[in-house]
Amino acid sequence: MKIETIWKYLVASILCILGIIVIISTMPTYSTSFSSKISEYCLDNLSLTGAINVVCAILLDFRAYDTLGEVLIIFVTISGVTLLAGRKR
Amino acid sequence: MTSRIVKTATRALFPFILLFGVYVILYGHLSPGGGFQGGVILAIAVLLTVVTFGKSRLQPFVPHLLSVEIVGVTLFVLVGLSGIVSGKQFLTNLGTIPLLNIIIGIKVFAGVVLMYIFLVGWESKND
Repeated sequence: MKIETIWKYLVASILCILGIIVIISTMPTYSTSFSSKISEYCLDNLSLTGAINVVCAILLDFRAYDTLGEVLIIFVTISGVTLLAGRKR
Repeated sequence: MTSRIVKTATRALFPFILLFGVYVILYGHLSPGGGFQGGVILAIAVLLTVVTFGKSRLQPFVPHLLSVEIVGVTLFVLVGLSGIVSGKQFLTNLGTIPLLNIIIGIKVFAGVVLMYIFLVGWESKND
């Protein structure tokens, strides 16, 4: 095996281990909890939104600007892909 | 060339995947799911047929999908502006969660299908 490939695998495995450490350390059961006031507010005032699904209520009511950003991200992505790859040939 | 098994399975599964996607979008505010997830499921139903039968049949609809994408973004912003019209803030919830779910679902469907089609066409050009 070449030295370059050994280096490649070494770097890849180190990066994977680092990623796993970051993921596990930020899991809710292991890490210190962030400010819980916001989530408690969202749960307590769920009836204001008219939706039973908590995720949907947060996405489309409490965090509607976030959803607007996601919608714009998809829109910009489509624009870029169309510009780059959708050329007539 | 895809095998007969794949073709038959695609024909059998296509309406059910579409139905499940529409269910996930329409009941997004009551059950797990929502616009993004349902839109991706709808797109997967269409992309399954594209993978199996080729994209020649879908090609005439590409400009319409582009306009659906643009109209979706505009509708989302318009629904947000309706909050201002009614005297509240931008994107205020006026019982518009199901409406926003439907808009996002249609938009994400068009977006994912377009991304796939353009990227696959781009790849095949380089071969």
